[in-house]
Amino acid sequence: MRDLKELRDEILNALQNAKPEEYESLKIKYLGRKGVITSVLRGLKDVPKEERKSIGMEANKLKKEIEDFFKLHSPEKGKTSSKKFTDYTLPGRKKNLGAFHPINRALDEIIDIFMRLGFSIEYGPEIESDYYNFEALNVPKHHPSRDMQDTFYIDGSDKLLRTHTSPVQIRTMEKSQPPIRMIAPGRCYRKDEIDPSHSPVFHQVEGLFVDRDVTFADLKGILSVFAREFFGPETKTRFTPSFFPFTEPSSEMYVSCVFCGGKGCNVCQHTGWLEVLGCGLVNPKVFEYVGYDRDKYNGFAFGLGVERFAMLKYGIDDMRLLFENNTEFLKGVIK
Amino acid sequence: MRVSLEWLSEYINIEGLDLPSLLEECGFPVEETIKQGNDTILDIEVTANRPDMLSMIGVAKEIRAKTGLELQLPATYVFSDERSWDDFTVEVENYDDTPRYMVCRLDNVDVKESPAWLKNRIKSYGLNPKNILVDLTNYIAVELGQPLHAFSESLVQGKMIKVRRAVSGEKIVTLLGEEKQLDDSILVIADTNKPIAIAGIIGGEESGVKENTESFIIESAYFNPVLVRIGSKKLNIKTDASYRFERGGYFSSPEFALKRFLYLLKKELPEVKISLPIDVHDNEPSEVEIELNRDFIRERLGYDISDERINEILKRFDFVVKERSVVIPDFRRDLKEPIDLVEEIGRIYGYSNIPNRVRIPEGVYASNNKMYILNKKIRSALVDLGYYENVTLGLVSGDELKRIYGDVANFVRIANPINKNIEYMSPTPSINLLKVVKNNILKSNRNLKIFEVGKGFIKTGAEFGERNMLSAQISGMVEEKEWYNSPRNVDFYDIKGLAGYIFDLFNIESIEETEADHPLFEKENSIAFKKDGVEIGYCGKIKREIISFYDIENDVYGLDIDADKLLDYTKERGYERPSVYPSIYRDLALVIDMNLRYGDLLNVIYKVNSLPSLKVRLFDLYTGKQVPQGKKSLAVNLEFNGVTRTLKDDEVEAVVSSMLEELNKKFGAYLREK
Ligand SMILES: [Zn+2]
Repeated sequence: MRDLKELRDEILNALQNAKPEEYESLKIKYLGRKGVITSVLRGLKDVPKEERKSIGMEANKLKKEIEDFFKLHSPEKGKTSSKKFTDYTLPGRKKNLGAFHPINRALDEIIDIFMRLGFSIEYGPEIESDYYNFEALNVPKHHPSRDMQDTFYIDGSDKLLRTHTSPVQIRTMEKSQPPIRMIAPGRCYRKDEIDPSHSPVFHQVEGLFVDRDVTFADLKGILSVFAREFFGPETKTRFTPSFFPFTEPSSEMYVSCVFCGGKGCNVCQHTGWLEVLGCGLVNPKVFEYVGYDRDKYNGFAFGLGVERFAMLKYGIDDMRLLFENNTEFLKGVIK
Repeated sequence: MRVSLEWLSEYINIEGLDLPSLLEECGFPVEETIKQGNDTILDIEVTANRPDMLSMIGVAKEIRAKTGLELQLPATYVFSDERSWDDFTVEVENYDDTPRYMVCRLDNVDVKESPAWLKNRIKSYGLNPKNILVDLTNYIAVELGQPLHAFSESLVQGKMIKVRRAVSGEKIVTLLGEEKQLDDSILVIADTNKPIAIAGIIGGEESGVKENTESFIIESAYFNPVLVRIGSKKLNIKTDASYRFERGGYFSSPEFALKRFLYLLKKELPEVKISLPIDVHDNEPSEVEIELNRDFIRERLGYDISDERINEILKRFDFVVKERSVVIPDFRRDLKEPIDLVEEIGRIYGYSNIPNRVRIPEGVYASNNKMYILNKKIRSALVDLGYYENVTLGLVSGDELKRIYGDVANFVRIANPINKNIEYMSPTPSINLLKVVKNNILKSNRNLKIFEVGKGFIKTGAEFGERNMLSAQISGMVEEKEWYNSPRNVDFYDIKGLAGYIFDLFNIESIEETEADHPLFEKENSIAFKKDGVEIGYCGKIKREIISFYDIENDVYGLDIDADKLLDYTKERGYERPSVYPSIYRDLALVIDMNLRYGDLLNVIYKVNSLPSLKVRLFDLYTGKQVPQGKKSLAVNLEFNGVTRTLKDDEVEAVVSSMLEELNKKFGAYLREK
């Protein structure tokens, strides 16, 4: 066994005087599988037991010193100089981000806003029964309002593809008691040809708020907060009467045009307003279907098309782009 | 509904009104404003609950309700000394189908061209003027919303009309020359011989008004809307009349419309002889009386509107307002309940005048939805890894399914698809992702990492399965070529690594990896993941014949994971104090036959181990000159730890020796010589 101190001096001296191109071979000489330090450590088993510990520690300390030297002086493979020129303009080794889909970006934001307002998330099946999709929502068979939602039916079954996320209202009320605040995001299907503003598959968020003493003022209040959170603090809202069998009174919410700020442009057809969602007070007949006391509870409901929100928010003018999934498109541009 | 302002001003003075805003506030937005000569036409959108708004008089009444302006009702004919029509009978088979049916006989009719005023108004609605008889029936439909039907008297055989269900096997050739098969769901107007018209939908071939005829029958009726709708759908005939009838009729309408028609006819053709009407009807329905609770109205609207204001608005609708109830005229049959009055007050008072209120009700807090959290976590993680999130339609063709799965028996088919390309519900987002890969390659995006969290649908017997799935696909190079790297093409281990990452994300351990036999993936380049014997996912190289079908040349690797199962098996990650005792490491370079699997070795290593903690890391895989042909070397690093005590060298040596012995016995493995 060589004297470790002697060995240390010899090695450190050699390292100090070595040229960078010699580092690699020195590294193998000292630290390699058959290197000097390795054999010292291996030889420990022959050292008397009482010395083994201290020699072992010394040897390991030296090993660390040598390793540190190489770490400090490690050039890129074969490249020279410990004072390498750093061209800080070279691109860094950056991992590239992927991208969220604009529909889901909008959806995430919508969900986030309603969660802050105390709404829970509920999901429901896309293959639905006529009962949940229409009947319990006060849309009887052969009612002309079914025309608004031309339906896909499932072959060999009485089931259908839900035409809206409203069935989740019914499913939620069936399994829980008021007060309720929930939103139901999801896919819906209607027999529409694919064009710049239609798709047979699209996404909706349904909302439901049931409690005692819920008024039209609550509906306006919550949905106006939502519109400002989503489209920006300057956003104004306007409510006009409409018709949905499952709400009474029914309404459409308009927001001040996000493109012209309400001055009038092509997108808003020079009205300054954009129609963005349908809403209303829950029709008491719907409460009858789910077994709620219609004299005790009331509520409001709404439904919005996620594609439309995404297109307005991100300035996308053709719905087909959303379903093409061209990576260049999905990456987006910073605006 | 096209509303001519020239026409409308016959009933109400609209001068100075901003009608588009006013109508929109009432719930009837103007879709288009059309200039036609000196006239302006507003095309308004009418909701399905308000058939009364499909008429000029309905629109005028709505404006009156909103503004309080005077309304001028149209003049009607008054019967006096007309002869009755004795030799003719009308039979109604069922009053549920036909609550009211009226006819008059018209003789000495000169079927001439309409006067200019009539032609103009017919044109304003978008129709072509034909002759005075046809134009006047159309005029009444637009003015009052009641379709009328005029047909030649000689068309009717046997001096009688019967309004009845068709008999299965009966046929009719319509006015448009199409032959239609009828059945007992369809209501017809028949003579003793055969159907001459489909009730409320369209007349028969012969029933067109011919100029050389002098005697006509004019029909004004109220048919069951549901029957008209069923018939219209079944026969695939949509007419202005069917559109109006299926939205509903009401009892007083046929009579008023008939009298209005006769008034105008007589004015234009004074020589016409009119018979007394034959009026077959059910009992007149009792009037609709709705409870009027003004507090309820204020409560629902959330606004303190006065009793007087409420009464005033209701009166403007022609409602009879009593102390505690309101009587509704029958043209507003959409109003049935107190809540319907809330809407009427709200609309006319103006939704904009109702304040906004934001309140958090007691006892409600947003609960967590596990599927939502999972969805968000996966998507964020994959986007961070450089993946692009996709949203595809989730519908595929039967042809694709057949090519991939052999047949379509287990898939959900849409009975009435738009086209064959989107006829089936896809069992996995993967199929549509392949099309995304193809389309991106066409656009020169070759290095792809894409994913979709979507639904997969299957059919088992009569049951439908709907599950949440994560599908991902990669193709091309691992990363773009940069100055600092030399990227390689993606391979099986990249997609398997992604699967492992997802399992780590949800803290799912001890996943069993087995040979897969999945229709999407090459058998020799794929794997199935199981947890407790349950399949939770697959990954591998997409079969060549599948990607060729999508015209993709590059290799594509894919992943299908059942996201619902991730939720079933996910665990919380807790914490433990790390061992204070040093680990002992051993490196083994094991030489084995090329076709043996690392996983099998690993199982033996773990099985033989008897020490408290062992971690194994494969840090090198070598094939080449340094090992005999047909062999490979797997270098593993073993980290042993005593957890509660210091391990002794010799116990580790003993364990490692037995491992080597066992590996040699089982696989012929030996240590690679230094
Ligand atoms: Zn605008």
